[in-house]
Amino acid sequence: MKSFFAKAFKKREVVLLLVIILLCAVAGLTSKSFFTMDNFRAVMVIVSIHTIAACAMTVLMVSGGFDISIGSVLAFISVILGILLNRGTNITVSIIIVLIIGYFIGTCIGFIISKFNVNPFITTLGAMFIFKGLAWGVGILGKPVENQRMVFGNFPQAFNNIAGGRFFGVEYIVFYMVGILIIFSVFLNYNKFLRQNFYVGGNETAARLVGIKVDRLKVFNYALMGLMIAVVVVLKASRYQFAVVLGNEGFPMEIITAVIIGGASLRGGGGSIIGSFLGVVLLTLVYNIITILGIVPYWYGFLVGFILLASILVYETTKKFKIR
Amino acid sequence: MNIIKKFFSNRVLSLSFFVFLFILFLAISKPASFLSQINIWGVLYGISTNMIVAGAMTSLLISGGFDLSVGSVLAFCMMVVSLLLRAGVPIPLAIIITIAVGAILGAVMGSIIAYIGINPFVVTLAGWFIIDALILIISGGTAISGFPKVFTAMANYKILKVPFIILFAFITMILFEILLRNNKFFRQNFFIGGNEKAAELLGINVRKVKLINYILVSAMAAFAGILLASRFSVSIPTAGSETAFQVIAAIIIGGASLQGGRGSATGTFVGLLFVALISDAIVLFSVKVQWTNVFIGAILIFIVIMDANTSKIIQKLGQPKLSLPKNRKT
Repeated sequence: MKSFFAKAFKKREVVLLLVIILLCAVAGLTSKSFFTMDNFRAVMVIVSIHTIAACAMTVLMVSGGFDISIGSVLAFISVILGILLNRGTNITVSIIIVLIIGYFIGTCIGFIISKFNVNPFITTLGAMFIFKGLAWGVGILGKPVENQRMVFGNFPQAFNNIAGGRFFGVEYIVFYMVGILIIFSVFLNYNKFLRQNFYVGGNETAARLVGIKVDRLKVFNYALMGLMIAVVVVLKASRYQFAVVLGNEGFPMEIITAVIIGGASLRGGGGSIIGSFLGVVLLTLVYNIITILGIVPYWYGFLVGFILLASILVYETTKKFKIR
Repeated sequence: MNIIKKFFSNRVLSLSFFVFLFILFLAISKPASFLSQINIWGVLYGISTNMIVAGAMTSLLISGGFDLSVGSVLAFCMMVVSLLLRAGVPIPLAIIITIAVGAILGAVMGSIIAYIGINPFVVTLAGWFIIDALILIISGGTAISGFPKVFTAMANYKILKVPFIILFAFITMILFEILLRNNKFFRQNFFIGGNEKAAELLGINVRKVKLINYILVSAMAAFAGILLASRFSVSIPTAGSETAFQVIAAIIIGGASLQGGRGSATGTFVGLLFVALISDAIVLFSVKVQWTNVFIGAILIFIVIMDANTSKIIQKLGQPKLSLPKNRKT
């Protein structure tokens, strides 16, 4: 029995789950509005959006890569989606175009990183600049409903219905998220192709020598990331009936933070989809609780940084302890 | 052939040449507006803040380190100095305290990175979150102004017609170039960036060098914050939101690598100048300002691809092809 608990506590997911339960309990005791259906729904919508991006980011970080351009790519794809829908393009066609663009952007980034052997940070930093500029430059050609943050709106009702409804009181977007979560989790753990990511992240040179087509895998990972960002854009725009272009700078860092809290390492080779999901849940809950308790929202960043630092410190020290 | 090869493998030389051509192009096509006093001083003013941070950052990147939090440290120190001045603390004391605050922030992050051995990206990302929040907490999310006249005159005080902030930026750049070339302590960065384990075996105190790099970067960010507050005579919470990415991009363009082991302050300066000239050209040719980032990003990616490929081409030309798996990163 003792060894069972000892084993369980070594699992990042179990520890995270306990922290989340503790947090919920404390929040529930201090505020009446925490355990309400409305609040739960609001949390789940944000969790869903972030989880879909975090799934692809986890795969990427397991293979030792990462992507800080997703905020700008998200902004750019939002602009494209907004313009397409406002021009009256068929909804299915616009969604397919947007998904293809996302996939293509990811492929380009992955191609540069793997074929030219460029550091992922610099490549995605460059991509971040490019798509930020493009989102802004192309966005002013469209007709945003609000210019300050460049918000696109006035989408057709059929588009808003994609993720904008409820089924037995649960938002549609949650079902999308659960589906994507299960697919990613199963594939990353059991699919032969995606499991290679763990080898590549663990030791890239060895993976090459074993015969894994590392370049192809990397390109696929980044393409997947781009595709998932496009999915996020479509679902987010449909759920909120708006597509906000500016103000997404913090998005990649929040996703990366959630994935790191969930047990992935920047060196690659580690990480799990469920862990990332729990990381996202933890960060969203922190934000939610701060809002509910009426604490100044500035403390959110402070707490996120603190949790990130604490989780990595605990992780590293326990790892060192184990080796000894 | 050999000359061309050498020219392209020396980043400072080739980049300076392109920047020179670019300046020539701008001077010929837009002589009236580009060569005007206002424009030239504007460009120099524009890069001065980033230059102050960039010298220390180059040293950090050479050692294989990395700091995402400079922008937030800069803005935080800007807030600290403003609040101190508003509270009536004498100017020299306020400046010293602010620099100490910056150095302490760097020391905390640096010691976590160097002595506990945690990835600098994660630590400085956490630092970024935390310090960014602290800025908003201490300032209440609003801009702060109303400094003593002496303080606001400091950055714009002209010595031999050069504003102090620009002079200071150039002095730090030259200082770091000299230090990275000749100083024994700073040259250790190249060994650490090249091969950390080997450097440790050689007897270099790797952790100490790393820690001092982080302290220096944050202290320089504090200097930049103080001078920026003085120059604008107002402190804005979001002042440094782009600094880290801009500076890192310029340093990489200037020839450094994220793996460490190479780079120079001169290269960094030319990189910063290049980026600033692109922004300037976009304004001069009245292209929409929004496109600036597209050009900067494209040039950054182009340069790193060229970087990876020239070494490949040189390898193909010069030596028999090695059959080792490729794992070199740029």
